[in-house]
Amino acid sequence: MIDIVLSVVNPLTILVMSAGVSYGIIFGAIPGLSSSVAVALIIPLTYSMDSLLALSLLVSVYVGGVSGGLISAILLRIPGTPSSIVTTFDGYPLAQKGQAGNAIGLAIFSSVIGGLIGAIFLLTLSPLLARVTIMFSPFDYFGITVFSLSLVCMLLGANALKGLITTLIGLTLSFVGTSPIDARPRFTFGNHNLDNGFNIIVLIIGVFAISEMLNSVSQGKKQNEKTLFTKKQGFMPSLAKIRFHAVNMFRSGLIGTALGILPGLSGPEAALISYTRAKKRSKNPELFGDGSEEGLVASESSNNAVAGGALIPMLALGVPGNAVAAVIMGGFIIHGVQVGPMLFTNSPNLVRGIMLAFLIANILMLIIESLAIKGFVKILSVPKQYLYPIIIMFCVIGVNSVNNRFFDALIMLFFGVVGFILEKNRYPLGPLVLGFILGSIIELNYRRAIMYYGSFTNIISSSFTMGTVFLFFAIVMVFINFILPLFASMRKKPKKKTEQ
Amino acid sequence: MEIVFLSLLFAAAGVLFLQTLTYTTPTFDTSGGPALFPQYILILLMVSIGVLIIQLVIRKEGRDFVFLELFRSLRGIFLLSIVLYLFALNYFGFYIATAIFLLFTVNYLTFAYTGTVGTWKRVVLRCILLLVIITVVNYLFGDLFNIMLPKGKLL
Repeated sequence: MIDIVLSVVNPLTILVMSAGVSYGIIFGAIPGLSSSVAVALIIPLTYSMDSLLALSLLVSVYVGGVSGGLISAILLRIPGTPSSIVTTFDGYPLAQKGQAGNAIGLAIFSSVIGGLIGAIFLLTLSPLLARVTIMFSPFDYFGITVFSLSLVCMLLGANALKGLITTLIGLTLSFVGTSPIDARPRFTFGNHNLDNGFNIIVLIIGVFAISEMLNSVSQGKKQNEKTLFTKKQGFMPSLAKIRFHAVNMFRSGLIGTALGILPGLSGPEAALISYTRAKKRSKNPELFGDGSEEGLVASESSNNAVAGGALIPMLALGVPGNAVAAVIMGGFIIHGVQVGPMLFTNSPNLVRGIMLAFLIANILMLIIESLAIKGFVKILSVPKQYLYPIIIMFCVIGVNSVNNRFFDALIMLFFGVVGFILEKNRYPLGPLVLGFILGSIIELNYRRAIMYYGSFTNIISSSFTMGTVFLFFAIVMVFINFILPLFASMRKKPKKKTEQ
Repeated sequence: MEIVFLSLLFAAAGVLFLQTLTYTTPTFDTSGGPALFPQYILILLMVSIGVLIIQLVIRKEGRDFVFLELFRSLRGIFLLSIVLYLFALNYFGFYIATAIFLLFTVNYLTFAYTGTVGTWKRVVLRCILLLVIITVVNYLFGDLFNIMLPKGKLL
C-alpha cells in the first residue's frame, strides 16, 4: 500500500496532476469546451508517460473539467458544462447580489466534498456497486429519468404552465435527428445537418450565453457602475457555514455518486435531483432560484460526485458511465490497460493508484481553485464593452469545437434569440434544457422496455420493478407540485376579482 | 402579442404532429415506432399552449410581450454585429473575422456606454490590446490545444 501511495504522492506526479487540473479548469470554464474534449486532446501527450502517471493525468483533467464549469455559471450565468446548468439557478443571482467570491468559494468547497464522496465509493465499493448497476433494466432507467423530469415541476415556481411548455419544447427539440432503435430521421426537413439532432453544447451556449449577452448588452453602463463582489470575510466558507451545509453536501454527494454509476445518466440529472431534494428540505425554499446557497451547494456537490461514480462501472465492468469516462477508457486502452472485471485481479496496484490519484486530484482542485478565486472574480470587473464581445468569441470557439460546422453557429444564434424571447416573457429556460437532455434518454429506454416486455401494460402488470416505483413517485411529484398548485391558482384568481 | 406567439408555437407543434403521421413503423419494430413518443409530447404541448391561450384571454393578459426590443437600438446593433460576425467567420476565418468583430463592437459599446470612444491614442491602444488578445487566443486554442478554429472559404 505504501508503494502505491508513494507512486502517486511524489513531486513529479503532483506537478503533472496540478497541470492537468488547471488545464481541465480552463476547459470547463469556457462554454463548449467540455471535459471530454480536454481529455481527448491531452491523450497524445501521455504516450511517452508511465501508465500510472498518464492515467493520473487523465483523471486530473476530468476532475478539473467538471469543476471548472462552476466559474462561468456563477459569474456570467453561462454553464461551462451541462453539469453546471443547475449551478446557474442560484450562483448567478448570488453573484449579482455582490457575493460572487463567496459563491465561488462555497461552490468549490462543495465540489470537493462531492468529489471526495465519489472517490471514497470508488476506492471502497467499485466492483460491488458496478455489479448492482448492471441489474438495472431499460424500464428502470426510464422510471428514473421520468422521475428526474418530474422534479422539474419543483423549479417552475409561479409560472407553472409556462415552465411546462418550455419543458415540452425541450423534449420536442430532443426528437430532432435520427430516432433511437430504428434510426429514422425525424423533423429534419431534408437538412442533413440535422441528422444527428441538435448538439447539447450548441443548445446550452445559445440558450444561456447568447441570450444573456443580448439581455445584458443594453444594461452594460449600469453594471459597470456596480460593485459585483466584496471580500469582507474571505472567499472560502466559514466553519459554521460548512456545518450548516454538511448534510446537504453529503446527501447531494451520495445522489451524484449513485447517478454517476448508472451509464447514460450524469451531472445534470444528479444536480437536478439534489437541487430539488435540497429545496424540499430547506427552511427557506423561496430563496431557491433567487440566490440560495443551499441550491448552489446541492448542485455542485452532486455534479462532482458524478465524476467518481462514472468511473466505477468503467473500471469494474468496462462500461463507461458517461462520455468523459468513455474517452478516459480510450486512454486506458492506449496504455495497454484492459478495463473490466479482470482489471482488479490483473493490475490491483494500478487500479488503487488511479483511485488514489482521483482522490488527490480533488484536493488539488480545491487548492488551485481557491488560489485563483480572486482572479476568477476579477472577470466581473472587466469593462462590459470588452467582456461581452470576448464572451461571444469564446462561444464561437466552443461551438466550432463540437463539429467544426458553420451550421452550428447559426443554430447557436437561433437558440440565443429564442432564449432571449422566452426569458424576457417569463418562460423559464432551465426546464427547456433539462427537457432536452432527458428527452432522448427517456425515449430510448421506454422503447427498449416496450420491446422487451411487449407493451406498457405488460410492464406494469407482470413485474414489480424499480422503474415502476420511480414512475409512481414521478406521478405523485407532478400531482403535488404541478397539478394541485395549477388548479389552486386557477381557483384563486376569480375569487380575488369578486372580493374586489 | 403573446397570444400570437403562442398561436405560432401551436401551429409549429401541429405541423410537427402532422409530420409524425407520415412515419411508418417497420413490422419487426415492436417498440412503438419513431412517431409514438413525439406524438405524446406534441399533443401535451398543444394542450398546454391551448390552456395558456385561454388563460391569457380570460385574464386579458399577454399584451406586453417582449419581442421588438431585440431589434431596437444598442441590442439590435449588437445582434446584427453577431450575425455579421458568424457569416464573416464562414468567409474570412477566425482571426480576421474576430478582429473585425472585436474592433467594431468594443469601440461601439465603449461609445454607447461612456458617450465617447476617447482620444485617438486610446482608440489605437484599445485596438492593439484587442489584436493581442485575438493573437493569444488563436495561438493558445489553435496551436497549443489543437482546437479547430473556424476556417474561412476565402482565406
